[in-house]
Amino acid sequence: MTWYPEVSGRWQSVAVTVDSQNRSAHGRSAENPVPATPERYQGPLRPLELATASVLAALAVVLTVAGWFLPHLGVIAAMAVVPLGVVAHRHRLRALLVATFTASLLCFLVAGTGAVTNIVECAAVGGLVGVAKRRSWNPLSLVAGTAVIGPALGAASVGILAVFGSLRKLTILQFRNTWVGVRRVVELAAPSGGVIGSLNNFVDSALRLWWVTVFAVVVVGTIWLVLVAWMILGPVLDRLEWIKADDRLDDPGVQVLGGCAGAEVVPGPVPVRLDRVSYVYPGSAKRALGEVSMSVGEGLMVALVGDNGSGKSTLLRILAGRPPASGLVTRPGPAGLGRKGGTALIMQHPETQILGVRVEDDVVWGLPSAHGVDVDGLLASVGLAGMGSRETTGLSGGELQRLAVAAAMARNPRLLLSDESTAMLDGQGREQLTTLLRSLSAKGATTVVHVTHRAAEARVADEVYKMQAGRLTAGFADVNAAAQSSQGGRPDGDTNTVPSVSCRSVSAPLALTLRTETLKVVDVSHTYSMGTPWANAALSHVSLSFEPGDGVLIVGDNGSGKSTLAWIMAGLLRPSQGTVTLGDRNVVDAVGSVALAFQHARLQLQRATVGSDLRSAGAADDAAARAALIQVGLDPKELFDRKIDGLSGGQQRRVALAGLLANHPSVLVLDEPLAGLDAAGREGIIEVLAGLRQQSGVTVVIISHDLEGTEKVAERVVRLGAGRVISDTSRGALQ
Amino acid sequence: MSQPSRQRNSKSSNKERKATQVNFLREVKIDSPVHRLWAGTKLLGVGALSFTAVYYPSWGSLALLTLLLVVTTFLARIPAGAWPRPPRWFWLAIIVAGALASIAGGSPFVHLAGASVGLGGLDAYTRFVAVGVLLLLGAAVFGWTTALGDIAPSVSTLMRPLRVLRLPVDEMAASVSLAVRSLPLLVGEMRSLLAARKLRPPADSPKLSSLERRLAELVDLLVAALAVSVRRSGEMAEAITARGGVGVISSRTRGPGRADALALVVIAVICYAASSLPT
Repeated sequence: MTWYPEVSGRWQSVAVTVDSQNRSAHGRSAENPVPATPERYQGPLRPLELATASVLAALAVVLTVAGWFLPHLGVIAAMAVVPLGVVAHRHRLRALLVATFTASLLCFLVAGTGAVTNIVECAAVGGLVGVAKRRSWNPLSLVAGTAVIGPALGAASVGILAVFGSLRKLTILQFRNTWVGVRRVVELAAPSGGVIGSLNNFVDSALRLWWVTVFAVVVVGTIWLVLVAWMILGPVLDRLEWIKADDRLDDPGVQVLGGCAGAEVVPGPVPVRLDRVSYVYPGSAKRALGEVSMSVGEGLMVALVGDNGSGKSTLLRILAGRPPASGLVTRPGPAGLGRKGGTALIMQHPETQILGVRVEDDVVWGLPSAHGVDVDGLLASVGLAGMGSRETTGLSGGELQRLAVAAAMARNPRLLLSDESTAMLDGQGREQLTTLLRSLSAKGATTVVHVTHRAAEARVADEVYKMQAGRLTAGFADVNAAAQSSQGGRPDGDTNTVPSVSCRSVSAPLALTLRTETLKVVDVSHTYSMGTPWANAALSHVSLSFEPGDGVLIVGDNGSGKSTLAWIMAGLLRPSQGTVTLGDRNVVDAVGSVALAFQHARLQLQRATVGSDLRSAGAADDAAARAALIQVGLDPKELFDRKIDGLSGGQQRRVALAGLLANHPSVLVLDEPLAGLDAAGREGIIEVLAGLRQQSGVTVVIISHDLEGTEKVAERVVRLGAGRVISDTSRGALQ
Repeated sequence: MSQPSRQRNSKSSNKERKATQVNFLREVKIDSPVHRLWAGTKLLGVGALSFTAVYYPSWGSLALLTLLLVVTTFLARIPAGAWPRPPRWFWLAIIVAGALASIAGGSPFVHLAGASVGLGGLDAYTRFVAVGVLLLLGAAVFGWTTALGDIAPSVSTLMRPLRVLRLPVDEMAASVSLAVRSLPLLVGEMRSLLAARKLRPPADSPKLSSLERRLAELVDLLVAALAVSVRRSGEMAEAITARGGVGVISSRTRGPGRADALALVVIAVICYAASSLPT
């Protein structure tokens, strides 16, 4: 073994020189939320630029198509200017061009040529306004910009119509005919009108001088769109500045696209030794990592446990090759993130780290070449045999995470990093993934570093390290103690947690009066896209009854119909057959009387601040809004005026819950309320729900794929499978 | 994708949802000669067809192109249920606009029971509508017969020659693949967003005018949608970096075969024939 000792971070300069200016511009922080000046990058798109361009292009397509096929919502199509403007605001023009291409192609495939013109127009205007906002142009420059792109778009339209002469003549003829038809009808109703005559002359000349008309219409349309963009994009951009979207792995000094960087240097990520390594995120005053020393040998499974915000993820990033702020990292060669024989990383969120459209595509996504990769063998080794041609959209969280492992193994990594990859899975999924990770390191070729906060997972590891406040507090000697003490972490899902107020201590005097009614699901069946080749029977003959104050868990796998049932119970979807009644009302006629908390809480928060959101959600006044916050265990003093996008995921979930409670629902349905939260966050939510049931007698229905953690709230368990009720028992009988 | 309705009144919104449920870019999962064609061939075919229809919108040309699409649909064994079912107002609008245009008359004239009727208005109107329908139908046939996962790889192959122009071809192909991957997730999120809005009581703030309130509400919805998308972009970016950047986007390297050559020849011949028919 030849060691390759280098001062921290310097080995990367072996491959590519690191531009220190780039690095300082790279990060963003709460104090300085403005995006890094994108002009400093050159060459191919950075991963963040590519991802933003692609996702927002898809959003522009959705908006355009919605406006295109629902003409009464036509104005929605113009809103495509917003996502494209955000691309221009955050990134280089190159990203906007790629986004425009992608959106145009997809629009063409969905809605034909016409929708493409909307994308091009919106990209031009969004680009102008986005850049104007980024560079803080004064309105005069914006007018100048409009004076350039308006006539340009107008001339382009005239040019295209000049080329397509037959279609132009047909269109003009069609307009003329329609006008003649309208005129004759009007003349029949009210003959001899001077107005008609002059209007007739006007239409005649407008059609004869078509190029003037088209040019004028496009220029006026562009000016209108610029005005709309300025009025809407402006406030949107201001509010989005609160959202940090960083690629904390990307190193601007290293060429990522094209796969040529470091090609000459053989990766050697292990054995790695860290000597008093520190890390500070750019723009942050606090050290995320302070003087950490550890070493990771070859062929081991190492567990890293600690609370949220203790620096585990930062430590993983150092292991993945990000240079530390100070200290010494010694490894045989570069970490080689994503390279063959280098380092691979599996992350927490199953949905976002899967990049391929099909399962087999995802395994090879990003490799320089798919040749020689045994895709079927890799899939079989993670328990996904025969699923290669399935689309990734339909997979469960556990399947997605195992797919991520297969994609990592396609690179034969010598170091596999797992950043809380089990956090969002159910018990079975966790066990399968942990066993898989254990088996990889047991073969000896791969070292696995697994970040987790679960004792059982840490116990299977060869070595366990515990982290607290950016420091290693315990080595592998006291495995169980370390794993166990990490269980009682802080009560929320993210790093910027505020200590939450226990709901029991404060909520007693503010019990809200709720209606008590029975929710009855009577013989409900639902088929999506009925009568088409895509008909999909989600539910068949489901009958359930929920008495006031019931606590029910509806559990089932992906595709069991549980989410459909939730939407139907809330009245958001009219079932193909059967009815859902609350008291004597059909829920589809009383949307809002059954509250539904979505898994994705951010979508349920539709105002800028917590207070204004609660008011718009139905709180009668500020006092009621504060009371609702207390009910969900949040401190109104601290949170009432906070921006929605400045909250952690766990806090957003609670605020969304508070908004629903402000409407005094008699039934509360929660879709996967515990997904994505750590153990303490789960306990917090459960405690809030249990408290609600006790105090106000609200019926609580939890929809989940997992039995775990809900014992305190739901004593009755309904199991769904393939759209039918398989069992309906009380928790005691289940044991 | 399906289009959720935005109306607050649940009864009418439900009727509307049934009527306008449109499935976009959704493959009819059966095996057929058309399904087996390379996606790039179909992409080129739709492009050629759209161009011909727009450049030569004559009766003969439109009839020939419609025939091509109908035969393709037949070969692809697309069931009747796949066809979009436009809502009633759509047909009403088509009939009213057609009636108005027909009133204009003009040549050609036909003589019926002694009266002379000008069909010029109807003629122009029919061709005008036919062009629009053809463009949509071409896109629909592509969507019915092509798996989502095949789009980006075929775009990548088709654009390879554009490398000469120094266009960022790899980035564009990777972007298409990531956008296609994101589309279903985004549609689901938009549905949840609108449903969440429906769950809330109707807004009534007397302080603001109706326009201002609508504008504020629009901004709120857009911010929620973008907040989710921007976060997703950040996580997706880390996933890309973790895989060492952009490389291959698909495990299937299949390109065009003999059937594709045949299909392209047929399309070329029909488009050429359509273009040379008298107007």
